Amino acid sequence: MTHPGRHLLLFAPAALLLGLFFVAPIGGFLVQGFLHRDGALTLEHAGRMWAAGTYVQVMVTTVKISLWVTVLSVLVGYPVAYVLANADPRRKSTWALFVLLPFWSSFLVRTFAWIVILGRQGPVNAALVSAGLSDQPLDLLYGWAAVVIGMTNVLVPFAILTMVGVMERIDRGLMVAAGTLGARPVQAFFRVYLPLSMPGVTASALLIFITALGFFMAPALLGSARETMITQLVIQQVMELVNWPFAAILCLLLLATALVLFVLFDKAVGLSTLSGEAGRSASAGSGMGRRICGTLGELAAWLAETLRLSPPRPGEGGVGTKGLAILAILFLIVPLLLLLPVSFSRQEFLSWPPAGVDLRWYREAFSSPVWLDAAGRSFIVALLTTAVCLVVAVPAALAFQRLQGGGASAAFAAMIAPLLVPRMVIAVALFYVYARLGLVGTVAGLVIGHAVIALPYVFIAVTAVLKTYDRRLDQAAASLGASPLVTARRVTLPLIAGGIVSASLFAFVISLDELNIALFASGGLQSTLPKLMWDEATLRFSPLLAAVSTLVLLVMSALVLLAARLRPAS
Amino acid sequence: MTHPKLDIRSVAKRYGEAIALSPTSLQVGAGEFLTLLGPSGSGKTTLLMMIAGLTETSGGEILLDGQEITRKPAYRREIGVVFQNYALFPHLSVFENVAFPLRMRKRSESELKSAVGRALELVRLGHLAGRLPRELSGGQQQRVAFARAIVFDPQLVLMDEPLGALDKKLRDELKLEIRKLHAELKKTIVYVTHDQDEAMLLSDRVCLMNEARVEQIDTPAALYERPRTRFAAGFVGESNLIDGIVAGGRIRIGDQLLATAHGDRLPAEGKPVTVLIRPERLRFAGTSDVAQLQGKVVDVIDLGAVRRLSIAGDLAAGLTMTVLGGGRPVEVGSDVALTIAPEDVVPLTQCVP
Ligand SMILES: Nc1ncnc2c1ncn2[C@@H]1O[C@H](COP(=O)(O)OP(=O)(O)O)[C@@H](O)[C@H]1O
Ligand SMILES: [Mg+2]
Repeated sequence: MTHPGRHLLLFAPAALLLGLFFVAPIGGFLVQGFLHRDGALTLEHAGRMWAAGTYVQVMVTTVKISLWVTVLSVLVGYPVAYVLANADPRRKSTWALFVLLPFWSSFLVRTFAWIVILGRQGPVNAALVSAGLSDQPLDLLYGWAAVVIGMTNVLVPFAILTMVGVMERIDRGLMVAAGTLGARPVQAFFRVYLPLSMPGVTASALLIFITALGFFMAPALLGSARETMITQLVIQQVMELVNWPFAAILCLLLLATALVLFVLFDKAVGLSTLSGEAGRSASAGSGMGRRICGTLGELAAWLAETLRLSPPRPGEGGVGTKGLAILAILFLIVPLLLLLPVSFSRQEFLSWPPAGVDLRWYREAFSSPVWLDAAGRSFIVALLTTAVCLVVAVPAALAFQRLQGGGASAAFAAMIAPLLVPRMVIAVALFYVYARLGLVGTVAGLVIGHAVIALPYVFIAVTAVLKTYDRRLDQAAASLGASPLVTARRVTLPLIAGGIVSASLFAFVISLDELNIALFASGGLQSTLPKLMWDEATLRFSPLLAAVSTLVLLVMSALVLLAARLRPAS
Repeated sequence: MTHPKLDIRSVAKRYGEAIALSPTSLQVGAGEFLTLLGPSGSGKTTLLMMIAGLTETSGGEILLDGQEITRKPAYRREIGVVFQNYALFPHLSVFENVAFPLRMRKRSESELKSAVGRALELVRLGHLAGRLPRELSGGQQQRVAFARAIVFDPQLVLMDEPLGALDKKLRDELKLEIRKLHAELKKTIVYVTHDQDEAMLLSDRVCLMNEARVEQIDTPAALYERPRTRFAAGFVGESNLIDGIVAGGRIRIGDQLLATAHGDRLPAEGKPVTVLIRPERLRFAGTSDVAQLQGKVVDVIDLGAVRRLSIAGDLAAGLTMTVLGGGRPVEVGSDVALTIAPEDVVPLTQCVP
């Protein structure tokens, strides 16, 4: 009845958007790294860069920081993921909310929070001094630790959500069975649960590492020159030095690192783990890995015995696990809450505890044409981005649903590709072509960039909605005499509408928080809200920024809560 | 032997208001094969999980070899459990799955190798030791689960519907294998099933459960021949249940008097009573017999090996009768005279009609 060609036609909008504004710009930009002024291929840029040394040094720093952030994120996230995956349904939604809210809250705002917390006038220093642990405020900010903490804070929710997918598929009965075979709860955990959750751990480590490589906000705002990361150099090359070849090579380096890791990961565990499916082979459970886990298990069991810890019931987390999980959640949430008192401060500068309670910074924000203008633009861009994403993603998801085998994997990979490329690379590449197309400083330019970045999220969300939809309902409607149009209007749409709205809210939130694109494409005049906040913060973090941040957080949280409520239960 | 292997004393389980198991007492002798038989939701799994230490009791105590184990954690109970979905560790090979309980007990590598080898030979899977569970068929997985549950020589083996996930043919095959293994190993086994054939074939004794309590505990034969309750009579085998009044050591049904060889099971004179007559025990009255029941055939179902007749007669409700298949066909509508031996008229003892 339906011709396969028609399905492919549904992919046309996606192919157009990604072809013109993702593949082509990135290709065109990256190739600059190897082009001579006259257009001939050359390695001279690469050679000069290698000789300069500092670039290699920055790459090493970037990898080092990313590794630390990866390890910390997984360690902090694991107990939360464990508790979330094993909680009974009612408590689960509470836990999930505490992970989803930070996950969707602004990266920028959360990085701001650490400026407040770790600053010389911040709560940590205030506590240290008043407790007599230090005579004077310490320089906690602008260093390696601040960068790592800030980045970890932002990335832990990613780690949790990736691990939960794998953990939820672990049969709880296995832990029970291990118990009947003589394994103490700790032993059962290390011998059975940990090996089985390893695909989730490696998958989240991969995602975190690759995301961390492309970070620039945390090192720029929380670090010193020594913590410069590679993406900061890219910005510098483009904005200050206008050295496109160097920018291209740096981006290539970033992409190549990510690609190599992906290939290695696919060989070892299988990429399907990334979408939450159980790994192809539980390789972590064989040989060395198993022996290490086993030894750890016996050690932990012995410790628990010696310390007379009461064993948790198999399957559920014990008090210790829950405690760790709660600490991790506090680590995610509390920084955001600390912005609130600062925003009510009466003073011009940051201090802890903030003096007085005043709404002056809110009044100022609401009466400033610059802020209002940026906020208005951000909302318009977010609305348009959402519309574009829906127009592109819904048909693609409908077509994807009918594909099978290799075609399906290829289509999926293509649709989520923007997710795997650091946003900065997309932003710089778009800037490169926008300059030629006259799109710099236009709303259209911002919308296109945001749409490319948000598309994978919307596609995944819509696909998930369609998956929960029982197509036999369409057949039933048809057999009852409904035409395809009537079926769509009276049966299909009412049932999936909630999910679609939820997916579009996420697109809206992503756009509202997007900084990379605006950093280049706004052309300095058509500033978005995150761009304005960034510009202000690089000069000085003020209570005004705390007030704006609080407002942004409120709006985003409201949207995310609404989206979570509208999402179909699955 | 002074005490039973397993002694369950008034063990009960409540979930809030709901009662999953009323106070239940039960003894299992060493080497005995006891089956918990009953419909879904009757509390079989609940009882089994409390024995294993995987569900807390709401009351009562459990003794293993005379030792109280009610509060002992599962991992120290030395009880092997075969789960319905097998619960094989997907990341461990067949060998490592079976070795798991021995590793937990820190057995030496050589001891471990030979014990695992023996257990796998026992279930005829020695050649598959290197495979992962997902590379095995359902029946093979089931056998690995069994090997794993007995390899550490537990005091007691619990099995919760171990054949439930398999198709009928495989189930029949494995049933016989479990029977053989029990005869060889002489382990004490508590087995859960809702399948009466499995219970009859495997058990030394059957504990019939219904609505969160024990209905009757008996040998399979006794359960079939002399059920005590309406439920027991109906759950095990097919049954005709007929209500009557005790009259002079016999049962009056309408104006008929039915003799029974189980006079000791009758209540006092003049009291109501329900009797069980198994369909295959009814016979057509020959010329020399006294016809006790008159009726008319209203339906005939030919099942090949047997033929099932529905007979409407003077015994109020209809009767079911099964006769061997083949031979002379029985016409619907024909009149028949039936007879029943007194030993096949079984009064139920815990049942008021
Ligand atoms: N965790 C539980 N919470 C509440 N009720 C339960 C729970 N587990 C079992 N039950 C109830 O206890 C009763 C007995 O269940 P179960 O022992 O599983 O029966 P069986 O194994 O005979 O099918 C059922 O009514 C069941 O609904
Ligand atoms: Mg059960």
